[in-house]
Formats: sequence, C-alpha cells, structure tokens
Amino acid sequence: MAARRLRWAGGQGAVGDPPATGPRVVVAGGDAPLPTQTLDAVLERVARGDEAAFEELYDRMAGTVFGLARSVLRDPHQAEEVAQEVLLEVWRTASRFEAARGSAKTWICTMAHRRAVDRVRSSQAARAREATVGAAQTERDYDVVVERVETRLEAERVRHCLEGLTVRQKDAVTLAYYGGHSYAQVATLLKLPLGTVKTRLRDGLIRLRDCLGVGSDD
Amino acid sequence: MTDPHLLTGAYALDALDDVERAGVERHLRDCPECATEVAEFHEVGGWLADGVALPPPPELKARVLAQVRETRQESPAGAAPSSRRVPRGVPRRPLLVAAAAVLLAGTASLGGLAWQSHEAAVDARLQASRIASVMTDPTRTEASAQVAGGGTATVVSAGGSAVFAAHDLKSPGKGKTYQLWVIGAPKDITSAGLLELRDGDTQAWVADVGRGKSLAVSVEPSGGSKQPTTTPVTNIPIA
Repeated sequence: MAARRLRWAGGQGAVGDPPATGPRVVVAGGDAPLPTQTLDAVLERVARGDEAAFEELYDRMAGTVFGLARSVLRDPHQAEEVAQEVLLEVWRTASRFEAARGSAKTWICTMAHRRAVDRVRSSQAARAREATVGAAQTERDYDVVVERVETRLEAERVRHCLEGLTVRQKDAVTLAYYGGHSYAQVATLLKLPLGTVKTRLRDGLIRLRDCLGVGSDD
Repeated sequence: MTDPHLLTGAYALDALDDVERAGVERHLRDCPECATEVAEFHEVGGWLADGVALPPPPELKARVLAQVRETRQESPAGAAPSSRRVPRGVPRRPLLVAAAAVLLAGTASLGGLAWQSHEAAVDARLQASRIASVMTDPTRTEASAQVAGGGTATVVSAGGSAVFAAHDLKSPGKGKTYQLWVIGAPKDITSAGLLELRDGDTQAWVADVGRGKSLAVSVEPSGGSKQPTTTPVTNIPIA
C-alpha cells in the first residue's frame, strides 16, 4: 500500500499519459500550452538539464506557484520572490524528483507551499499578524481568505469537494492551506481548542482525498 | 506531544511549528502508513493550489530563465552540495565541510531505501537543508567525543538547533538500536529519536537545544525507549 504510485486522478499534467515523444503543440497566446507530455515527463527532461523543458514547465506551473505564494503571503512582491526561488529550486534539484513517489505537480506545490509558509512565519508581516490575532482585523483577515478562495476556485472538482466538507473542516483547511496559518492561529481565529483543530485538519483532508480520488490505484 | 498520527493533516498543510514538524518527520520514518497519508494529503494540496492560480508577473519568466542558465543543477546523486551553501566569509573547516557532505549524502540516499513516500523525500531535503544551515552557520559551536564501544560523535549547534553526527559506530546488536536523547537536567531527558546507521555513520537534526543541554546516545531495544535504560555510550554538552 505504501509503495503504490500516487497519481493525479485528473487535472493538468497527467491526462492519459500521452507518448513521451509525440509532437509538441504549443498554442501561441493561449493561457497555457496544450500538454502533450505529462508534467512528470517534462520534469524528468528538466533533470537532464533540458532548458527548453524547463521553459515548458514554467509555462505550466508558474501560475500555480505564484498564485499559491500570493495566497499565503498576500504581498505580491514577496510572492514573486518566493515563486522565483521555488522555480529555481525546481531546476536545481529536479534530479531528486522520483515519479514513483508522487506527481511532479505535487512535488512542486509542496515545495511552493512550504517555502511560502516559511517566509510568512519568519517575516515581519507574520509578527505583525501574530500581534493582531484575536483583534477585529483578524476577523476580516479570515473573511478575506475564505472569500478569495470561494471566488477564485476555478477547478470545479475542488470546489465540489470543498463543499462536501463540514463548514468547520472547510474553514480550518482553507485558513491553513490558503492562508498559511499555523494550526494555533487557526484555533484562535475559529475559537477552537488546539486539539480540535489538529483533528479537524486531518479529517478535512481525508474527506478531500476521498472525494478527489487521490491515492486510489490507477 | 500529540499522537503524531493525528498530526499528519496539520503537518501536510505546513501548519505545525518547527519542533512538532521535526517530531512528525521522525515519526514518518517509522510509520509508512503515516508517510503515505501525508503524501496523499500533499496531493490534495496540489489540487487546492489550482484554485488560486494566478498569471505571474510577465517579467518573472525572463528573470527565472536567466537565473536557470547560470545555475548548476545538482548531480543525480543529489549529494554534491554546491559551493553556494557555504556563505562567503565562513572559514572552511575541513572536518565540518566533510561532515556536511557526508550528512547530506546520507540524508539524500536515505530516501531510496527506508522512506516510503515522496513526502519522506521532501522531509529528507528539509532535513538536509536544516543540517546544512547549522553546519554553515558562522556562529556555530562544536564539540566532539569518543563513543564507548567505538566511533566518534560530534555535536554542532547554532541558532537553537543542533546536528548530531557520529562515525564508525559499531552495530548496536541484534534487536537493538541507538537512541538519541536531549538532556536538560538529570530528570529532564527527552528522546530525540532513533539513529539509523549507514555504514557506521549516522546524523540527526535536533530542534530546540542550546547551551546548558547535552545530547547523549544509548543502546535501546528496537523501537526505542521512553527513557534511557542503559548507560549512555556518549554524552556531549552543547558548547
């Protein structure tokens, strides 16, 4: 069970495993090039020092990396810095990626989220935010995060699955993931005991996992 | 600490503090089911990330691509720390640099063997970067000692965390393991996890330690003990 291959059940980059050497089709001016190769395969080319492959990876993932950093950090300038760091890290450490252990997209998003959270926790902004936890501003903060998620969720499936959570699970997961809040901050924001938040985060993720079909065999 | 099993969600969402994070990471090495769960949760994270994708600033692409052209990639072994890991102005100490290389190599290659998931590999990278950051900290202190039964141990400490490294250790024996302890006072002993030996070498990153505490190792039954049950084979005060 532990060794099974984790795959995207759908979504960008893993659709149908097209042949690795098919013709590349790039839609000029489109939002993103049409994926003709899985992102995993592209990242494996990046690992061999293929700069053109990296550019393709950039086109497919930079928006997600930047958007995630922006969501967590709020400040566009810092988000841009973090996105740059993460994308460079992808280039530098691409050889460590092992497709058997999870998708390239998961690898990149995990790195991006952690990097953004590390930045927010160590920054002045975080300290200022800590100081206001419990104050009226935090209430707005919370509303803004939730609202932003609800309005920007383009991925219908993600929205559908988020709606399948209890309100409290959804709030906790949303604040932690999109808001980059620690569970202690989530507890303060939601006025819940710490232990409750920990289990709620896990319960919420389990429900999302099952709804999204994550981890089920191919 | 809360049962690490219940912390997988908060861990995957990067919602833990450093101490708890390190605790969960240690736990994941021994709990393949937990590592798989964390991997699945991270995959959920990838889905959630789709929800907030935004067009990046147009100038970002040129900047990243320019940097890429100037940046050397890690070798596939993942073991070669590039020179940029060592900040300028820090005198290179052969012992430490060599130790850092061994540590990084050890951490990177652990991924292929014992760790069951992609996440564990991410954790290995995190551990490697934490270890590297202690080893290259200009304010670091170090202390070494012999290990009873053979081998040497070194503790390098900086900024409230420490790296424990030992070399040429003998096998602890069948059904036994080396366990690392943080000792604050005679009655204040907490486990810092089990040490995995690779060719007699081991390393660990320990959070929340500094002057006044020491790191000790004892031989314990497989799976570890809550408190040391044998005389430590080494005990190194943090300098």
